[in-house]
Amino acid sequence: MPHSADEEILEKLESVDQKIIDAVSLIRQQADVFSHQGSVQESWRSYKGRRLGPYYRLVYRSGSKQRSIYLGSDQAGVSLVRETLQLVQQELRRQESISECRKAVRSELRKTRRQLHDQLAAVGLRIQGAEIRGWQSARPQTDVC
Amino acid sequence: MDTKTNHAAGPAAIRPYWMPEGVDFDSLPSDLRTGILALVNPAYEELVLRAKPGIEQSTGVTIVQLLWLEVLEMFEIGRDFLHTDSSPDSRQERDTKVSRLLRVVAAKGKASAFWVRLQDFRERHGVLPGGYDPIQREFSGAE
Repeated sequence: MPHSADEEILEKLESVDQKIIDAVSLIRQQADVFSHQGSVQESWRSYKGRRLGPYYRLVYRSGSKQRSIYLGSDQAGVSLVRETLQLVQQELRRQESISECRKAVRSELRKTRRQLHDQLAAVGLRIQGAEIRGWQSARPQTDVC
Repeated sequence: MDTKTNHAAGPAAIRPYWMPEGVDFDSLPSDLRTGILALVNPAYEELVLRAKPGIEQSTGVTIVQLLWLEVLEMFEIGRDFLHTDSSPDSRQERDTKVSRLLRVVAAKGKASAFWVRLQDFRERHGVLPGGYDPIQREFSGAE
């Protein structure tokens, strides 16, 4: 976790409910689990015909079991849990975006190489291993005569 | 390379127009975006935009794409040195990344050598391989 953002969260924890503190502690203690999963989900209840909420839960998977921790309806506390999750998952998102970028560049590179191969073949040049061969035949006719 | 084309890349860096659709430029870390804009943009302008269509341009595109991969690999390795431990697994992963970077650098070196050879060929013969240079012919015809 980046140090300053982490400290900021710890400061905010002083003014929130115990269940928020427990959820944030759990995410921090099991960062390896939450680095690639876990989310805050909202739900609504109805009581005597009235719609109440939203109420929030931290949902995650532990082993083969789906688990959830009730967070309540306090927006500030829920934001804190979301921030902690984001921090833990930041590295994963960074890796994913770089990996996707690398895939896209490699795919473009393959296309360019095929195109270059065809263009070289059209003028009598060929790729042999790492070298381009056939320079003699590629010389303009006026030079040969 | 033309240093005037370098751009500063803050959090709202402008996506380069040459970037393929599959790349989510905005989701990349800001320091990586800075690297791409500062290093790859000028290379694109010099090796692709100023090149003649055909072999010269395709070779330029190849070099630019390899340079881009090099920036990505170097960024990853740089971060690893700061954020990973010195366990055997981490070291092995770093070694793999360094090997990958060296392969990309070697491929870029070969593509660049071919680019230089193309320029040399044109200087010697007045045209690119294949003896066809529409611009050159047009000027020759006009004279």
